[in-house]
Amino acid sequence: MNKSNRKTGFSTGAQVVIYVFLTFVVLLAILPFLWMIMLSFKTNSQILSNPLSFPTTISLENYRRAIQLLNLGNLYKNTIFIVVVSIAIELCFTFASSFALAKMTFRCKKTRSTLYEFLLLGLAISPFILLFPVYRINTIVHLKEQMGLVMPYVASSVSFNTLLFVGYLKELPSEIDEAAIIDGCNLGQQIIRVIVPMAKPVIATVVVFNVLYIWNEFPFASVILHNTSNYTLALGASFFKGKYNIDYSGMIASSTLMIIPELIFYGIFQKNIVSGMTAGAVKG
Amino acid sequence: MHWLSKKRNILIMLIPTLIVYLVYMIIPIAMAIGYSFTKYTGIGNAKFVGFNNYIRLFRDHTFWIALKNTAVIFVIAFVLLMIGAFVVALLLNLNLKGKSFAQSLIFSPAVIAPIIVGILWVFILDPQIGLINAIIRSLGLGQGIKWIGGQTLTPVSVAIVYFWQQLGYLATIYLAGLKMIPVEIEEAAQIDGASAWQKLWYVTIPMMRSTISTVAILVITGTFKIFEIVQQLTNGGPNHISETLITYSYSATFTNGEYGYGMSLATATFFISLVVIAIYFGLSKEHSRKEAS
Amino acid sequence: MKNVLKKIAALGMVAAIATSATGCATSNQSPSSGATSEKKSGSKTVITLGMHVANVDQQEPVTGKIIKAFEQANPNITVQIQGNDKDAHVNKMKLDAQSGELPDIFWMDSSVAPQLNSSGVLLDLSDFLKTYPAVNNALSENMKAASRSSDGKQYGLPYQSLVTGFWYNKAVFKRAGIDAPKNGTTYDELIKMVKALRAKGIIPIAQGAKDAYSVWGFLTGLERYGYFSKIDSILNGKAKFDNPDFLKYFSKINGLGKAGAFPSNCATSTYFQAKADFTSGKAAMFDSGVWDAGVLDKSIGKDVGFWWGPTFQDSSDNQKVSMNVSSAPFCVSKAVGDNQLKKDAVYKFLAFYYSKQAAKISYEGSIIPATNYKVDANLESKPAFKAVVTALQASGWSSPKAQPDLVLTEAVQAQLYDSIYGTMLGTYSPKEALEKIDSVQQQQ
Repeated sequence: MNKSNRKTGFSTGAQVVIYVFLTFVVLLAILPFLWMIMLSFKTNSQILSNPLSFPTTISLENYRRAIQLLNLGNLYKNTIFIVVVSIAIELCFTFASSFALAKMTFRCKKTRSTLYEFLLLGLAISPFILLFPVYRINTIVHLKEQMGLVMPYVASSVSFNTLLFVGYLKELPSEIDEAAIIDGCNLGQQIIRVIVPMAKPVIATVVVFNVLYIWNEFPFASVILHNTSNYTLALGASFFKGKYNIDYSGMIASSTLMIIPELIFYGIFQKNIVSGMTAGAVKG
Repeated sequence: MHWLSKKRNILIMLIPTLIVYLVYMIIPIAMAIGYSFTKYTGIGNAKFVGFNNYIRLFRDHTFWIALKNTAVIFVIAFVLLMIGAFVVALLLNLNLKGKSFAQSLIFSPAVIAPIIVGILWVFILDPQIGLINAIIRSLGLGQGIKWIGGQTLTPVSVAIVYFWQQLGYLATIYLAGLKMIPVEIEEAAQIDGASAWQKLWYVTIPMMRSTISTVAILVITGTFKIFEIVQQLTNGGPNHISETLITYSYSATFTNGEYGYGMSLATATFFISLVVIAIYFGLSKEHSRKEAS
Repeated sequence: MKNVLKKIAALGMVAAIATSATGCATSNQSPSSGATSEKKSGSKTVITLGMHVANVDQQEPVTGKIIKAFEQANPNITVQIQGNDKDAHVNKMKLDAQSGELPDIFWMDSSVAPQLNSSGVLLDLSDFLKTYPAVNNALSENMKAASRSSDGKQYGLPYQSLVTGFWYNKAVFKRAGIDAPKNGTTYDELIKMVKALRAKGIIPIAQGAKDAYSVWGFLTGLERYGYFSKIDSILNGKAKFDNPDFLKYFSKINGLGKAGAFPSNCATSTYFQAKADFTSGKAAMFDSGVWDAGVLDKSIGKDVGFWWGPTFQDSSDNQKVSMNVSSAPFCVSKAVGDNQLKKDAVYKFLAFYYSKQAAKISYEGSIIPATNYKVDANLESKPAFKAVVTALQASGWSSPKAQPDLVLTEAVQAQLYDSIYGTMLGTYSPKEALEKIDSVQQQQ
């Protein structure tokens, strides 16, 4: 029954093995999640002293406490705001620069590859190194609170986005550009009307990864945001950490609340990535 | 292609990115490297001390331990991820039932904030309260193994946690690459009578070259940046035995208030990861040159 | 996809415009203005308070109550709290000091505060103490000396009293048929206890090495080998941590580890796990301090006692050492001194914080305040807290002027903790452990 018209050549026996293997991989991936959800129903002392036991009552006490403690509506709002603004800016910037690097003609080939490698340097940098300098720079350019976060996020996305965008755009055949020129498009039209639709899968991929990164980002947010009312979700977990008391169960419950929208977001976007990819491949 | 080569257009496209990148990435890196030549507590003024921090680094026993641990994590994670993610991507590329559901689930670990990943895995790996040893004990197979907090296994455990977290994420990138291989080429190979294995080796992998490089760069830079996982599992301990380059740099900078020394550790880490990337690409160019000949 | 992109871009622009309209302008949205903005809406003055926890009401409830009581008594002053977990808070304060954005009052780590003082961003509180002599009398000399620089500048005042030692569970000892420790128990007696407890499968002393700072009881022990008579020479470079007395002490710590005093998963345990071991009855003793009295009173309070740790017969120094010193300080930003209105409000707050009324709130919350008022508080419902108060009154026992680690710089402090835990776990030999501290000290 499963002899699709794209991939053939697997016997039923091999297919069973493949299914089993994939199920195993999926289970491994989600087991810690299930563990986490189970932990979120236990009390602190249960978590620390009797890890293997099932919670005696499935009480939503931890969630109630998490919701009560955190101004969740505000945290979600702040996080979404920063995510949307950062992604909007970085997509415009990095897509444009990647297109230039991938498709436009440089007088000197060396400039192109040097620029490309230069932009990739950021991948090797751990955010902690940049903490103090970025704070200093924000002071100089007078950026605070949310906008003080957005620009560092955009900058830290440059390397990853360039890597993915350039890799993808380079593969696009140049006949398309030639056809567009013959049609009389200028650069702007060319990009928006032709290239972007073709780049849907890689754009979706980049958006997903960046949204997740910013959603979860902690070190910069903790240092740059001063106003408690501007805090993001990632900082919410720190509300459960006192100097002498860690409310693990509250932390885990609030983390679960943080993760669920991310999973939903990924679930929705993933369809785009997959369907977009097939469209792209057929064109080739 | 006139407007494709117009200098003004190229500049317009490049400049916004370059400015943001320069101001918020390159200049901070330069500042950090600058601090690595000073003695600074984070308050007041930094005192220039030349290469002292680097000399101290070479003599620092803990630095070499951190380097060794980072290397172990890198090697294990690199092998597991490069191959594992590829295999998973190949499988997800087949027309199987429920595959997009499977893909979401396999990707889901990448969604969790790294710090939560760390906390979560403590409850799995801890020798005393962790899931694994609890199962071992309940099966009567002894007291369990010191997955973390012991003398040797912590880097291995860190690599495996990182592998768990990144598998779906990297498989997604591989999958995108696989989907870009034109169907006609694969069908042509089919018609030519190639076996699945030959198809894989002679058609799929060569066409995935740029994707494989992308994944390699992400894995190399990623393993060097692993922080929260180690911090939550062992915090570099006990007594710095499981320290990695980044956790040691962090503790020097923020816990010990030795900002200058911490930055020298960070700078060293940065350069080491660049060297590894250079080696990888050097080797892969060699390999493809040999293949071509 | 193009539509989605367009939507995102449009949203982004709207959002950007919205931010610049509201975000940068620090106008009258009452709880959400910037750090040092002092505003008066009507005749209200606002003072900003930087705390080392993200959620004061949950994690520092006594302080939270004191703040509320102050606001009630002073309706024209509002206290705006900014909190972050300790590491993030300390980082933020360091950064704020450079950009001139320190909150008016803030908690600060004891080893970082002197550095902030040297860079001139802290207000000298000697003037405050002169203005409020009652407070000056209520704070004993060692409380004030802890945050006073060598040139007499009072750069901070104690946040609370730091009382540290070992809790012990009387019920666990009774069940095991072993005598419980008391003030005056010697090291040799302790070793016997440890071995007996181990034989019964009980964790003798709960400790968590992942939180390296959680060695309070063992820091006190340093003074039983003459820490404060040596430390000045050590910090001057004339003497070393690696000296015969400290070597004896670290060997004793090592001995405890070898006898099985600490949990087998100590290396991967956090202080919080250690606490859970104690409250669940798995451990007989717990290294911590008075701040846990509240939590203990909620579970095993009536079984709990408190002692100052073992005495050592091979030391010629005073053995009756308790620990009741200044915890980390509250500091005041220098900018406050330039604004009369702000200064008055801050002074009023501090005066209230160090008042008898605040002391009563502290006692009711099982916290020992920095002040020394005699407070009438009913402690019968708080047996654990009462145990601490009783221990504080033990005759003949006196406290040094500070906790040994708090006079060291951050880096040396960190190494001291690491060395103590290393000796406990057997990772370092006593000599190695002390040499490590010396080598870090030389770097300072």
